[in-house]
Amino acid sequence: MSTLLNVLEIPKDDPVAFTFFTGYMAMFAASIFFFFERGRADGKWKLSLLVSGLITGIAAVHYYYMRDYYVATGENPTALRYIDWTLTVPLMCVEFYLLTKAAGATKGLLWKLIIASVWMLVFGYIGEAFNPEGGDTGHSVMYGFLSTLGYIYILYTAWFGEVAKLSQHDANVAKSVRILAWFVLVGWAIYPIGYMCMPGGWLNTALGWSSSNVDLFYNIADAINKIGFGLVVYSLAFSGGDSKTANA
Amino acid sequence: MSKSSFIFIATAFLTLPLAEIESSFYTQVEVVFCLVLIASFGIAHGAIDNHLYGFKNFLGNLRFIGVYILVGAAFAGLWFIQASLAFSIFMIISAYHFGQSQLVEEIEDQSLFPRLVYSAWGSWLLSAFLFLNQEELFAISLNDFERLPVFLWMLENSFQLFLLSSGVLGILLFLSVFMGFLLKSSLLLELYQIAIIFIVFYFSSTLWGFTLYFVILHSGRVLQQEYSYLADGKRVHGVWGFIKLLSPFTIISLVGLTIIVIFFAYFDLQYSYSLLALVFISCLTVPHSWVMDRFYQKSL
Repeated sequence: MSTLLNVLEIPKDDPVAFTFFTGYMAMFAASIFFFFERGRADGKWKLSLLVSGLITGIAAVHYYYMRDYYVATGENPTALRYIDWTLTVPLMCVEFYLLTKAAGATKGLLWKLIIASVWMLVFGYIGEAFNPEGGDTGHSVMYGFLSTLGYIYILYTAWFGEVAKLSQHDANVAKSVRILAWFVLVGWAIYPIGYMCMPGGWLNTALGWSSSNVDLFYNIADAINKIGFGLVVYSLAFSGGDSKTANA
Repeated sequence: MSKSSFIFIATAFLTLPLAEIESSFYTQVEVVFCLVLIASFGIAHGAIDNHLYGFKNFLGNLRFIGVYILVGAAFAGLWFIQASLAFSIFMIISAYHFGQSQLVEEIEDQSLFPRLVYSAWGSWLLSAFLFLNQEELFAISLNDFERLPVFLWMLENSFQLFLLSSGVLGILLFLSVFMGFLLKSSLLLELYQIAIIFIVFYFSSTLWGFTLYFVILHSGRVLQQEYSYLADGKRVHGVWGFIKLLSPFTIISLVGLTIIVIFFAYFDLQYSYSLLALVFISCLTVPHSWVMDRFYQKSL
């Protein structure tokens, strides 16, 4: 009992710890919401809502471990974060595919998006986790550049590429895809900020920001992006009134 | 989002970390790379002004080119007579021209209010550039621009100018939405781009920051607008046809620029190359801005 109480102790002046707990609960609650609402949705949106629930569910489990890791060690849980992202970010790309599938999105598009997201994360992880002691600008720049290429591909696909074009077949889908594209443009842009705060990184050298500053950004961004993605899909599934008939 | 905006944002994300590289070789490469890009794209985007003006025959074309050169030459004369006045006029015209090219696809109405918004956007851009690169620009101006007290004044007061222009631009952009000139989604995208421009100007070197804006967001955007207009009117066929159309005056201008530089170097005239470049750019900008304003009114 005393061990459990120790683990759950949140320092009052630590907003990072606070957001780890809030993020965990928010994503856990969002998962329950998406899983339950899935039952009310029209058949063609069930899979999208299931994926939304999985994204927040997987994130909730990782946040459960990350909050304990952070409270116990006070360190940035880099490995856990990237394990979480390696699963959830490709799933967010799957959402793009599922939304535009009815308009003819191919498996090829799905794989391109998944490969781009994995590319982005693998190079981001190498850059962040294998950063030499004390930081190295060359290392940070090279892996940051490579990782950003994956991000730009996804951004292009969502704003101009196949996803954007296919979404034009349905006004509601077009609107939702545009909102998701905004999430990628603004919400996902917060992650490179974190990357650039590691020792030797651009913001670390220029402004003196460190990885500890960044957990706060990551936690807020994760909650907004993952729950936000799900809510956009949810509102699309339930747009136009009764879900069972709205999209029939 | 326009393609030039996307390319600008993507390039900014990719190249911002390069600001931390400290190497004299890298700096030299950057200077050459930037000057080549500014000269080629900058001149090219104004190289078909005669086609945009819409001349009807050879004589009309010749007269247009004559007037164009005359206006440029007159402005060069103003630089030698009253440099501060020429610089001030150049700043005002540039602000309007930059703002117009940036916002014209979002605010198509060409009445007085949108023109104020264009000017405010361009003024914000110029003041942000001065304020966020104040130190580097001071270093240049002490050697090269001592004949331009108005420029030194603008640099010294760049923070106040930046605050003022930010406030005015913010108010006018929000008013544009309320008055129905601008969509809410366009406002959001504009604010996002403004934030990226701010970050680029703040973190990048002065030259790279300006190059990124001028080449992609301004010249690239204008070239895209020109191409769409001419392609829609079946006056050019494909990108290659467009490049062929751009080539003659681009090459003539680049040769002219080289001759001017050689002339000043040969006679050892006491003018700095930075100031010379500014005068040259302004002499092209003044007639070009007028043609573009007319082009936007005609094409929208």
